[in-house]
Amino acid sequence: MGKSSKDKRDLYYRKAKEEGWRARSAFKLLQLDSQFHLLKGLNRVVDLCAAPGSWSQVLSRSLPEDSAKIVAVDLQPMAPIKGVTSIQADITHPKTLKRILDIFGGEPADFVCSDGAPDVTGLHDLDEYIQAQLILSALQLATALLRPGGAFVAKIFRGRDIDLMYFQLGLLFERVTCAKPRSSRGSSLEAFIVCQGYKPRPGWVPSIINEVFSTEEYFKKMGIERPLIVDLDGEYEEEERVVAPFVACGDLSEYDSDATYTIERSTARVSLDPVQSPTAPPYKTAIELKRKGIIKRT
Amino acid sequence: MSIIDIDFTSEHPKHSIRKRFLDDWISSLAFAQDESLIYIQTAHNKILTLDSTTLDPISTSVCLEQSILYSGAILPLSIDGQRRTLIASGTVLGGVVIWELESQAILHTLSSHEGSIFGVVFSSDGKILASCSDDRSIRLWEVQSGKEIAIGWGHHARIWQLLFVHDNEKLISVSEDCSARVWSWNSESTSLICEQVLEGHLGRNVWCGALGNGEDRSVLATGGGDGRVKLWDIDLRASIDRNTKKYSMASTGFMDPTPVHKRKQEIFKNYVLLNYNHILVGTSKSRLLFFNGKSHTWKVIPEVTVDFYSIIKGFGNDPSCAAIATRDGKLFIARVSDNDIAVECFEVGHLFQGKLSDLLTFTVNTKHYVILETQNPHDPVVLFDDTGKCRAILTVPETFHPTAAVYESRTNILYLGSRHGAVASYTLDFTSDRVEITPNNCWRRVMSEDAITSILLRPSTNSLETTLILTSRGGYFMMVNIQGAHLRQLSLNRLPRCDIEGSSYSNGKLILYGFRTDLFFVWNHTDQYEVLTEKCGGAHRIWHFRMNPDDEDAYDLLYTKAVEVNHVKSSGHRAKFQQSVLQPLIHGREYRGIEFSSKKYNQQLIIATGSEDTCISLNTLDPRTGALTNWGIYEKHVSGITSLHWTEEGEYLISSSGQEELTIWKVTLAKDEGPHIYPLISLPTTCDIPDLRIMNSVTRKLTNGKYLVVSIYSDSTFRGWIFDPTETSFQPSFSGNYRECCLLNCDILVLNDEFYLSISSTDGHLAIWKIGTEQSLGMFTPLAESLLRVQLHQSSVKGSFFYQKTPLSFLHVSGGDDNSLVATDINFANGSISGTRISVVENAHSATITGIARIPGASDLVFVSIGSDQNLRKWKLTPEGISLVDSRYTTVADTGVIDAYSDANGSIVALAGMGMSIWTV
Repeated sequence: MGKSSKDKRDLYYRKAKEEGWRARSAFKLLQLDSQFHLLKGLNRVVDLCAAPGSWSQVLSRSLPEDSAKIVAVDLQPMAPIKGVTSIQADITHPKTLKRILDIFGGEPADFVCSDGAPDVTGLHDLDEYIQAQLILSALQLATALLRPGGAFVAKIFRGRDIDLMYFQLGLLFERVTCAKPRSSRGSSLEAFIVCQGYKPRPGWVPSIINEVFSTEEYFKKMGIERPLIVDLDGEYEEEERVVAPFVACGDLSEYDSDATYTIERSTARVSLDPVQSPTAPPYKTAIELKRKGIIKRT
Repeated sequence: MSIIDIDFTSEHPKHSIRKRFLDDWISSLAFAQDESLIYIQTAHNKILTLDSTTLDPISTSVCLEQSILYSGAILPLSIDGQRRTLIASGTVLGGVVIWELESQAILHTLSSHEGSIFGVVFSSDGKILASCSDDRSIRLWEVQSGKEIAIGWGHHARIWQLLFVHDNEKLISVSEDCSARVWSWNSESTSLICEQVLEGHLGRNVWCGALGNGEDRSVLATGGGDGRVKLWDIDLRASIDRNTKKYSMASTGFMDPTPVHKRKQEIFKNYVLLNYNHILVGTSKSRLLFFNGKSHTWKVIPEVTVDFYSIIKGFGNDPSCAAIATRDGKLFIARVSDNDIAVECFEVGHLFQGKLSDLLTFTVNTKHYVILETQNPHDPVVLFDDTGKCRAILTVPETFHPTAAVYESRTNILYLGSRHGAVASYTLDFTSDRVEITPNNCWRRVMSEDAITSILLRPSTNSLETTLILTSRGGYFMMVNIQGAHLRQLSLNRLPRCDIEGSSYSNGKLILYGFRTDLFFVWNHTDQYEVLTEKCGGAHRIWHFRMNPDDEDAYDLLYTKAVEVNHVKSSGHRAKFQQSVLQPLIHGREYRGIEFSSKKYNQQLIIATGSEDTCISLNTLDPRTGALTNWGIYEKHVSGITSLHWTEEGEYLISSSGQEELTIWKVTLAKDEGPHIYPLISLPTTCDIPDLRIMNSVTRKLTNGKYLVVSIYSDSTFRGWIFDPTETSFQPSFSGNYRECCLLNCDILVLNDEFYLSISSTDGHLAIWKIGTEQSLGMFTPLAESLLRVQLHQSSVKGSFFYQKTPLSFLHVSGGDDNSLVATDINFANGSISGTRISVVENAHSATITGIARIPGASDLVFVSIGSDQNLRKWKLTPEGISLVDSRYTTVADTGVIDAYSDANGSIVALAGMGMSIWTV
């Protein structure tokens, strides 16, 4: 979240700076919590794809300081947050699971969340596919970490095959809900999947601790798989799809992320410093070259 | 995966398609060298080998590096009869892995990119691998050693795909910056050299490229976010660069050898390109020079003295002749033969008091005419023929300085455009000499006060109407229709930041050209792409441009830069392909408005679309074939379109967008000229918050011919206006404020002469206000609380319509962000309003419902819905409730808007998002 943004209309953006959140997405978790009471009585929680850390901030402020253990995982380095142990690691790597469990003293987690998303390309199919892979990687880790009855929350894009994912999640959790916080723009496909009441697959033992599996193989071992290759001209079974119930969360009296506010015009003009400097984008060298005039518009 | 079997043995190649559905994203595919196997690379870095005849899986190989891939490439080799297959994997985390399928061994991990690898490609000889990534760089690697050979910077956004061309000596890249680039490299440098930038798409992205596989491998096809496939001759630009000639006084051999101060040196002042590449040049020292394009020799035309300020012009599409006027009143007519030039001089100064200041030309059959004028307001404007004879003295209206001329042979009318945006018409009679002619008509402020830079006669199949295209320095161009004394403005359009200097028709395409910042541009408006941008150094320099009338990519541009004249010549695409755009244009960004007009044009439906790309597109649709014809792309709005609606009778189009923009366009359906829109009036802004968006609008025609227009805003306010078409004015009628959320939909209901306004918003509620009678609407009233507020959805109401059930009750059907469809009974009985939800379908779609539309005409209440799950669903509302009739999958992603049309022949649904699709229901 930088100092200036093209999109100044969003009150959540400003409110996040005022309240010291590293990103406006903090309000999404707060609103999800007010609807589902997700953060009550938690002891061990994992925040995946955590950088820049706004969800970890929410967890740190909501959970009891003395007893709760919060682990934040991201590939990117993250500025420290009080009460949060951050690890810079790949969530798909088996060692990461071990590192988290070590911090928890071998005890399972109560809650796993992920607000991660790839940089969207604009090719909807591809973006939804990559997001689904990210969720599956987070879910893979979650199934090995969560205690039975634990909860998993992740960002989703409500696109064309989202009902396939709802079905797969329904095999692992008692309740699967699609939640849209008021702080998430109505014009965006973003929503959150709230999976409560983890029920490990019958007869399945979490074994990825010492073995390397691809995500597909991992879920195949759980009995969750898709056929390898299908002849569309011949007869084939339509994959199972299910629609998760939708819940809009956050009170209607809260700010609308799509609206333009005029009431705080005078204050909105004052520019606030970002709480956390943005992480370096992969194209930082290109920006540098453009600044030096080496990359030019024709 | 689809296998397309093509039989080339018959004259018309036959094909059949075999499809297989894989459980994963396919990153790349390849046939083995002997074509017996098919390799499929998945995004999990896995290779599935299939039998190419049966399509049965033979084996699966997994790379040890298990990362999700954004891209991949397969290089099947055959070494001593042994298969060796190299795989390149572009991972999500920035590494490129080269591995060998047969041994599953990783050969190289290339890690100098940052960010996801969007493209990898092997050169066809397998020696080089090229990769591109989120870091906006292109890198070349030696496959054998894994060594980085070269790096290329230049794109302004992400690079999606790479392609080796010209026997692996060049590389093409396509990017999110909407360009494709051609790169070369050499062993001396580690930098790729960007040779060409190809900008032929609109919107945001060029996604992919492919090369012609025929004899000429220099034809590149690019596919863009604008839905088009554009063909390029990549040798063409190289040949333009190679053939660009430079001329200067020094190269003529006629420069005075005595050294003088640089500012006093003789230079080229003015020039025109004629047949055979001959060039006629006037110099700063009053000499007239001739460049023989055949022998490449210069000569001074003897006994001709022009002057410093003389004007040289050609005759449009007839390059055999040129006219020169000097300030002191000489008119020269120059005619070229294949090897020489002949110049005749005529003294015309006695007809004028002032100095000659401008010269306009036109041709009638083979006869050339010249119009001369001075700055002196008392001087006439005089028409000469090419024998120097004065044919007519044109009396011009006051303050009318002609700047452009066109002659229509059918009507014998000469049209002149003026420096202050006026147009005048004269009937010319060529049978007599030196007659004084007064204008038939003079239309003032046609292009407001802008100087008219060119007038073009639109070629028309209908011989009874005159359609002109006018261009202006402000970047505007306008189509006007003239019938007798009546001038109708059909359309007004603009090229942002451009200064249009001229226009022409080439192969039936409208071409506009002029200056944009330091560039000379040539824009093909019909096909919407830039033919040329030449860095000439800025406007107000001397230039000469001519389009080939038969090839829209062939042209000659001459311009002066630093005492030299550059001659840029393009031979066009005709030698290699018939047309350069293969697929019709769609909006380059998400569609935000789509609506059928109630009017028809030549049995075709008229459909308007608006998009995030800020443009409005006007199309006709053939209901039998589904074929769309585009009649214009209109660029007026500054921000993305939020809504687009026709008035009930199709006379006006109303568009809205961010930054409080709302424009009313007058619609004309000129016979054979297609539908056109002209911006009549825009709403005044109400505040200085740049982000205040008009989210939607609705209109209702009143009995007095005026219109009630309602605009709803992102800050929860709404305003009513009375639009008076005869006065072209807006009068505020009412205003109100809902709550604090963004408003999304609005409707006007009329019951017993009482007008009601309904609004629904991001809070999932529907609210209704009483706004008065037709009479009271003429007086401004602030509105208080709504009469009714009822919750329909958990969050945003994304689409809705009303259906009048009885004189006192309506059905309101809505689709929401909460995946549900709701039917609500709105009852006005007993003097109060009540709203009752009568039917709810909770999971009508598996994701957000983004639009719904009633199918008019059906006896039942039938409607269609579209969602971000990419399903198009047809529903029926009966007393038992809403029930599903049909469901179809659409390939249009981010579907957001939908509209339906019905007539005696059936019903048609148009839906759009990233792209557009037409369905019969």
